[in-house]
Amino acid sequence: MKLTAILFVLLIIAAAAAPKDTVVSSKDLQPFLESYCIKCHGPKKQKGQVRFDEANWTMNDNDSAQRWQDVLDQLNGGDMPPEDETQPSIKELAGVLASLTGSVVQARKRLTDHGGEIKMRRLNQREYSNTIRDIFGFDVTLHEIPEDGEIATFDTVGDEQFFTSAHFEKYLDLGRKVAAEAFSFNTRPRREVEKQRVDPEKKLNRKLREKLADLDRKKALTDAGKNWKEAGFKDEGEKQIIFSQWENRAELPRSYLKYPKISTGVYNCDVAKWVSINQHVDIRGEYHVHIHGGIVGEPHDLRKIVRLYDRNEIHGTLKIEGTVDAPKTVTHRIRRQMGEHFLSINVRENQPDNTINTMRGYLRKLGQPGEVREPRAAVWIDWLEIEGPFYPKERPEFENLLYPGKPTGKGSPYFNVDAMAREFLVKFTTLAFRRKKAEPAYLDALHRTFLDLRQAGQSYREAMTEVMGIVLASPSFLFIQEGVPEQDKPHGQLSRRELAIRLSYYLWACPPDEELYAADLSNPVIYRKQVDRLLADPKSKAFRDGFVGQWMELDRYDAITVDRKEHFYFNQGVQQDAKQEVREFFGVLMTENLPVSHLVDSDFVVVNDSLATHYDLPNHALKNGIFQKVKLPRGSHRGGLLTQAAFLTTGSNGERSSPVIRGALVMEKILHDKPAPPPPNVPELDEASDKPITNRQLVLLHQERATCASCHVKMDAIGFGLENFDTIGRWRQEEKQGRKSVPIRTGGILPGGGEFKNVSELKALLLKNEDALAEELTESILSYALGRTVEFSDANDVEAILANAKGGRYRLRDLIREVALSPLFQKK
Amino acid sequence: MSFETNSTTRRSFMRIGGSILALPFLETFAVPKVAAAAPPKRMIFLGGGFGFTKDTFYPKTAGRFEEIGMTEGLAPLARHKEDITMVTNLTNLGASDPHGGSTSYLTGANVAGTPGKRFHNSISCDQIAARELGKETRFPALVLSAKESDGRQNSGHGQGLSLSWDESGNPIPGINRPLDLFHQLFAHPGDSRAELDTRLKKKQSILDLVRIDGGGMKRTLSKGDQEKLDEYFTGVRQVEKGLERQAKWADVPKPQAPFQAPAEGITGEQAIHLMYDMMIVALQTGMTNVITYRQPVCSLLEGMGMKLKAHSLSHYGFSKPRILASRERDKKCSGLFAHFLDRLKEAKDSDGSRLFDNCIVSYGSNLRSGHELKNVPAIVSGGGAKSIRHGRHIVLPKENTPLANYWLTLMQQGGIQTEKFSHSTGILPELLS
Repeated sequence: MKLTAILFVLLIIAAAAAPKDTVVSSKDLQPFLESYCIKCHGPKKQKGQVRFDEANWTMNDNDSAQRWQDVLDQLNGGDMPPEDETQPSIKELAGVLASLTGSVVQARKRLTDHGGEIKMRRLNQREYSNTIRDIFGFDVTLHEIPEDGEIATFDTVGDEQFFTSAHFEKYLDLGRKVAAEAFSFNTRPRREVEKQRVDPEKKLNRKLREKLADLDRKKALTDAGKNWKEAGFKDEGEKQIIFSQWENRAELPRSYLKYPKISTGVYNCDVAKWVSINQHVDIRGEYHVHIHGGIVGEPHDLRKIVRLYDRNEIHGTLKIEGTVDAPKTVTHRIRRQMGEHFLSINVRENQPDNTINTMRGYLRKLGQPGEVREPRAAVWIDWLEIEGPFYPKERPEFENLLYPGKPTGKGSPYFNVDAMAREFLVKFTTLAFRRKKAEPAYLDALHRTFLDLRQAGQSYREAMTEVMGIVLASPSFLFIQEGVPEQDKPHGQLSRRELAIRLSYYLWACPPDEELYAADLSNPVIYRKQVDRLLADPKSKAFRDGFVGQWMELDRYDAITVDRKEHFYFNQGVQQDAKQEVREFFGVLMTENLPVSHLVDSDFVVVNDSLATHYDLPNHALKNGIFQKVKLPRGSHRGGLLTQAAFLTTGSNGERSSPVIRGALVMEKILHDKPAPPPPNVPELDEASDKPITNRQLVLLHQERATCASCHVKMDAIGFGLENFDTIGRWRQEEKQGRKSVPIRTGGILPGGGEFKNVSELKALLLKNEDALAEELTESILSYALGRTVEFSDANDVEAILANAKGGRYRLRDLIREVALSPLFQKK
Repeated sequence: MSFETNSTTRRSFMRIGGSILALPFLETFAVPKVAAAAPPKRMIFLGGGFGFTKDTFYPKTAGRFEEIGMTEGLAPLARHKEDITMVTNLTNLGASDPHGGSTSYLTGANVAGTPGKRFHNSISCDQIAARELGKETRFPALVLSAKESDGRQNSGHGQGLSLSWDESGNPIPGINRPLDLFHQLFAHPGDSRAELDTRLKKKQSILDLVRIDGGGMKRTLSKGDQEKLDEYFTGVRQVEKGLERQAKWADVPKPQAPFQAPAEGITGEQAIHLMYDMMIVALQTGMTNVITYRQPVCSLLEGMGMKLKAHSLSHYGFSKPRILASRERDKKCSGLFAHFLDRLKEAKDSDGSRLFDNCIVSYGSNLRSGHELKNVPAIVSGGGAKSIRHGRHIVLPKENTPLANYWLTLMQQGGIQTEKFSHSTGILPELLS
């Protein structure tokens, strides 16, 4: 009875508080203030004009928030209470700091509430690229597109975007490049599929033999007493270098040339560092790169993987399947982008870059020293092949426009027809402006520009390229425009077209297709059908990658430089694959509509060969190169997001694991309890002694100081639970303390959540917070979908979404769908 | 391979770069209206993220450097000790997030705590200075920055594209690469009046065109969305202003580049050196009187052979190797700054005086050390601030004196008529006595 009464009172208070009010907990603070502060800041004295006996506990404007912020700063900075006064215990102070920090953060958030306004936004980098692909059928690399800037929430949030003169200049340049590319590709018929094969051993063997013969001749002359000049060296220095490196320069290739299968293939090793193949390509199509080869002997599993790469990027990894005697073919698919018409692929064993010249140390670390003079190949490659292009079923919209009812490249009524230029521009602007009709004055001006350029002697193609570039830098293309609701539409509802565009940019990050434009989205049944159709379409990968990449902050992962000498498992291939794993895993939760609790723990992982090796998973029959769901063996420590290499590496500084970062990430992403930003002006921890200490001891130093302890107690504990995973996410049971190895302690107490001994028990505790996880995801997805931050005023809508999905234990696709179905999503 | 090419370019650049800077003032490039007798005031704002090492960079006592000596971190500046002033007890009242970077370093805006806004910024002091000092120059101001490949918190500069922000609080994009600055400053083949006129005309018609589309769009937008569209228009207007300047200056030839164009991928120390050297040329030839440079930190460390990112390094307290690395970084930064001052002293101004004598150079960072937003490092040099007697470390009597007061003082010294900047409460009389 009594409890109900208290609850009732609390409810009344909550209801009475204005939406912008945040109330500091007097229960948490009062005893502290009375013990340590009121003597100088109370009825008797009011030092610095501060008094706490008449404190205003409500923060309802910037000034009142600032007053409590000042109190917080004083406590954090260790300035108050003064040194010569009674000091609070660490526990007391930490408790007060935690409570007050929470209130101030909340007050700041309330005070910056924008009342649910969605600011118009421009296409972000991803959307620009996808939109161009939708229109023209080829991709633009992200780094060519004006940057999104440092976005704190999602790249869809218009309020966080900036537009500067540099943006305009870049969009204009880029628009021209796109148009020029369109005229050179979209006016050509599709090509037939072709195969081109390279046998890399021919050139290699010839070169090795020539070089060896030259060296042997020089050596013979030197042995016969000739000087450097007579022997054919450039100078005495060169002679000395060559003889000092004779083993590597002459004997290694000599031994290589005696290998059994050199006349039909290449042994990939420090004599033959990589093999390559290249070809001119059509950027509208996809190409298959086939590698035919086999494994030499029985190398470490890590060494059976090759990676495909070029000057700029790593395309992927593949496991070589066959043996030297029975080679097999494995395949990787690649698309090129605008401006990159030449596909040039190198293939080599997926080892860290720094080992390419001397594999000796690397092999020793792997426990496979091998015969020193042996070419230490694990992979033998018979041939490489490029096959393609393979085009998508539908041709791009721009080709439909140029060649209506005709095959691409044949008899366009527009291309090179001056008289039709204006009509072409009407059609093109409608396509680029997502079916909005351009203003006649604008069309006239475009047309006039075209005519002027023609007059000045430019070709049709040059002139039209210029004009199309302008269209692609115009606001109607760059901005996703939603009209004024109050004038045109009741209750701020979006128009059918606007809703179609918002929905397709939410789930596909590109413009709607014909069916979506045509659908009567005001009919709830039809709308729901369209939402499901978009979600089921492969184009929804754009949501998967765009959302989870930002939610999981994969850019932070990219920013970590791992020390590859120390962590030699973390080669360039794994680095790339680990990032892809996050997306693929999230994708499986989406397509199979699994409960979001799988992010905490799952009985499967979604990996390719290279990651299966990284995780020491027993050899599954994985189909080459493709990420797939693999059931985990009983008792495995993997499963969920927290044990993925990308997550764990983000939670490191590249040298050692960081329980602090890992814990903070779990609090934010899983527990929906983002720790407050680090308080300013807290002095750095004191210099540690030179005595080596464990990671745990290092982290615990934080907790010796109240200002740190208030937040660190929880995040550190969670991080300790993940300490069995090293910097790069491999399982370990020991860590280095100075020179010796010591067992890792992983247990801890989750404040307010119970005790755990290891990662499995930690996961079990975290799983109890399913509601919080669902709320975190819902708010994040909603923010991504709406293009604005989610505010306190959205609480009811968020609750409604959660209520609809709770029955099914918050299945991921249900949540994504419910966001689209929410009334919030359909309003400006 | 490419690394070798870079270093060759770099070496030849330095060699030739050094010799051109020693040349007398080049009349041809002078601002037409400025008489040779009175060189203009120049203001230069240099900033790097993440502060310096607490115990070894900051002097412990106030006084003349001559007497108190140079700290380890400042030691590379010893040859300029009579020409620099360090100020202690300045705090940027606008900064509240230690991870917030240099976003409000030159603006003082309350970035995170402005009602109804998640993010807010205001005009930076260099841009206020440029309104006055940049009226008659080819570029009102040069805004330089660096794009660090690892981005986000690692580069320590937070939101923004440079240290500069315009009057609406929008970021001003910086010139990120030495090569781009090179192209801005020096003459190249397409610079003839006729060609420029054609280019300008064409560009102007493009701007007119996109305005028609935007104008039609604006009528249907809500007020908030109109603001976003206005950002677009402002961007377009900025392009236009640039064109107007270009047109005005079309008959005054740009200087011939006295050295080869630097290679594309130059970063870190090399990039800072090149930027510094070209800044001198820009000032000396009267192309601009105001320069801001947001210096790279991560690539600087990388070039020094350090594996740590700048952010990791800033939390050096608990690890001996990190402390040592942090101290090395300090020395490197001071050394680079000292080199910049050397160049300013070598270069001749229009009246034969040293360029240095007409400059106000500010050097500093948005953090003191670790997470400390209070008491940020501030060093000022140059003879342009006539009332500042250099050679001292000044400890202001009041802790947390607004950094805005410092900027206000420097602006007034630069001849800017203003009594208030951001949340300034007045100038710093201590600096002027």
